[in-house]
Amino acid sequence: MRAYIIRRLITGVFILFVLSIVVFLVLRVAPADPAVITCQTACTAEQIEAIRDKFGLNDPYPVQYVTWIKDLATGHLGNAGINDRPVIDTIRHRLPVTLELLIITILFTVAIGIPFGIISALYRNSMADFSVRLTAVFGLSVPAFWVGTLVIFIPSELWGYAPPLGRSISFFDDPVANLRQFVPPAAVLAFASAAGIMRLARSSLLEVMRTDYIRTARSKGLREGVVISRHALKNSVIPVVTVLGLEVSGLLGGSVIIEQIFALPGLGRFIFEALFTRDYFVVQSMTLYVGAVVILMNLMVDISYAWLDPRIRYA
Amino acid sequence: MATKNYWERFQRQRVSRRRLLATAGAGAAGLAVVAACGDGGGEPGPETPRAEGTPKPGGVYKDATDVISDAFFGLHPYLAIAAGPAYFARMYNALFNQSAVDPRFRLDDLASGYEMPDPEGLEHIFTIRPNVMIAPNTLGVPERALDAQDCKASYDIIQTLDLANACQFVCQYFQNTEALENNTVFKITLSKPYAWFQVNIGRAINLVIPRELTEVDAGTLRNNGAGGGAFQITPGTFVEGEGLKMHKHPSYWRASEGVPYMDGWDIRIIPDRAGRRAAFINQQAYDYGASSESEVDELLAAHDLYLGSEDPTYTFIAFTMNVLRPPFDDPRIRKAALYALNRDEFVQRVYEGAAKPNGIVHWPVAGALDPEELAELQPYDPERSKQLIQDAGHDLPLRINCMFPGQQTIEEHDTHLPIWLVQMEDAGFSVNQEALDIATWLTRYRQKDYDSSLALNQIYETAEIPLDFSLSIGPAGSDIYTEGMQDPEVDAAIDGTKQILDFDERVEAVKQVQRLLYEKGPMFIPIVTPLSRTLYWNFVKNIPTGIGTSGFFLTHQIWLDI
Repeated sequence: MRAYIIRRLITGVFILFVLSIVVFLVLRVAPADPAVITCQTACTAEQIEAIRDKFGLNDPYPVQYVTWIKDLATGHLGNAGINDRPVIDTIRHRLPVTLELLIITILFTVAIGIPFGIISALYRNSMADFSVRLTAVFGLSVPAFWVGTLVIFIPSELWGYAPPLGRSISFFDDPVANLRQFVPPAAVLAFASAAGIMRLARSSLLEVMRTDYIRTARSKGLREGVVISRHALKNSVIPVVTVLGLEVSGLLGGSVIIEQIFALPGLGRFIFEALFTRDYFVVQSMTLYVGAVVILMNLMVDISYAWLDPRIRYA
Repeated sequence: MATKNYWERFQRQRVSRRRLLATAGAGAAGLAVVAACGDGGGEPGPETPRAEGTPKPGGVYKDATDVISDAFFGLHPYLAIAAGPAYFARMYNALFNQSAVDPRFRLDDLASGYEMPDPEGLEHIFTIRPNVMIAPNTLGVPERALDAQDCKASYDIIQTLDLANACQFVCQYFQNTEALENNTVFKITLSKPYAWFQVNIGRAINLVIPRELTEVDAGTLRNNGAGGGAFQITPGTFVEGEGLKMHKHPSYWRASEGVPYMDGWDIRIIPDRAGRRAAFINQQAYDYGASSESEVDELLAAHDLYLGSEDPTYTFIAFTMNVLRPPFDDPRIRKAALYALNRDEFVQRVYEGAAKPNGIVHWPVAGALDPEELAELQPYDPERSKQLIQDAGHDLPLRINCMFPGQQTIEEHDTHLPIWLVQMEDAGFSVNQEALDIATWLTRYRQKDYDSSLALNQIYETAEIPLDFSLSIGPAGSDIYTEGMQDPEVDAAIDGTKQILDFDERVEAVKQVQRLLYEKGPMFIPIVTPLSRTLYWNFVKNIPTGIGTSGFFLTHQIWLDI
């Protein structure tokens, strides 16, 4: 297992290297000059050149790339081009917002998606099953930004209620206000995720329930509850775990719009703003960061397979 | 009005404490320093909706903004754009602020007196008010009175600071600055006459900061500050993407009058309109810019609100053509694009009537042409457009390229674009849409890399910049954004307007330039200017209106009845 993990980590580093080159080049090919954007309306040609020099944008691409990688290796992610603040400081401030949103979303996703998927499978073709499936289709069909807008709009119009907007409240400062702030956007994000998990858990469980070892378990006289909890669930959850891992990766990017709607100053908005201002350092560093998270999540998912299914062994 | 020229009228304006107090009494704390018309016309000043009652001290104003201020140099007094300048007038001091939209209003702040001894308007002498104290701060700036050395240091640093917003004004026209008479008098000498000096000297982008701050690094000034204004940044509260807090200056120079009334500001960044509306209804924000007349009516009916003002916003979407690229190098095509526009349709469909059609200089800026003349100069006539296209040797429809920023936060584009496209089609054009992200659009716009562009412009309260778009060196004076008309006659005419000190003569000259542009086929076509639709909760009192961005300087007079 250790050799497998090391091998995967090495592969991950290689993937990050390729990703870094792709991101680096794509940003530079994009038709906009970050120095001009930094200037907005106030620069002469000389001043723009000065900015380009300051950020090393006049250096050849290989030099720029090596400088960036060197900085990365030493933990210096560069400064955000427009406001010239260290990227690492901004990440430090914004990461907890995105992380809390992510954690609550995953909790909701698991807490809603898996149980309802199981109910739907166990009571196949019942009213409960139809209701769950209908809800799941609805959750998958409607875009999160629309649901998010409704979640903001309807309570404020009907009851004059809105979650705290525009300033993140730390859980340790005010837990109630913090949850008031984070639960609505997390619920919106979880709605679509849980819908997918629900459908997957249902189909996966139905498939497992038709296998020989379940028939054997039943024929041994085990109670149905034991058959399901001890033999069926653990096996049926493997594809769900795979998808959950991908969900985490997706949520890192998918939270951009929800952070925008709920005015949460998280990493999603940070990347979004940086893209519009062609902030090379931020976009490069953050893309690599998201890439690293995706690679690690996939690795964790793969490792969890071995725990969930003892037949799986990594060599 | 015509008996005194513009400058003479301003020279006669002086702060009258008695008048100040009279105004305050009449307006229940209307603490605007109001200067009367030179010809003795009335007691003008900002209108103050919901000003009834005795001002109550205390309370924190909750504000929401959609602008992402951290992306625009935060709160640096000379570099920040977008949201930043709205807060500088609270923190720092203008020598005086002259409203560009209501010449009767002038707020004397750091300068208690002003003279322009030279009839050419080259010398400007300010008497510095002795008791404008710098607020307690964490930057190590002593709590002393601001003086002429601070003024000199401020304008000197603008000239040396890369990217300073006010450099076009200060760098282009300031020849010399002097601190005189033991730093009680500040003198500016211009290199050439400049008609817009008085409205530019008090803009929020070139205020006076303590000279110690000119030595402070730009990074610090993006987050913190210290000045003699009514409110100061609460250190450590400006958080990227979230907002900032401000608190009242305890030794503000008008503190003896009980102002500022409020204890401070809590400003949040809420990018999404639905979020801002929800925050407003939930009283997480005390004001809200409604998107339409029907939204105003709906909210007014449902809550205890009032509409602050229906002032013009002084901004507009404009269609800009590149005269160096075909087909817009042909004046007939430019005129065809001009006649394609049915501005009334924009007024009705986008703004539900709460807007007015624009000429080249937009309504209601001094120098805008009257509607009757505009109807002749820029009639909506799609058949004539088609004929002009054919006269220019093109088949119908004529395919043109038009770029625009397609960023979802610029709501105006969502509303204008579909109407404009249909109108252009009706007039014989086929538009190849180039919807660009804001970064790409800005770069191409700056480099003049476009055939035509649809753009949201900034707030222009005078005729100066709208005319400058037609200059061969572009509106910024540095050969960027537009190719202008590439016409020496037009360049000379526009430059001429900047030298005319007499107000009435200048207004007439501005009109003449527009007539010349219409004759030659204008390359810059503003569409319509809407009215403001800012709603306030009824407990918000004494919001200044009617004076444009000069209202930034009157936040000390706002009070909360809660």
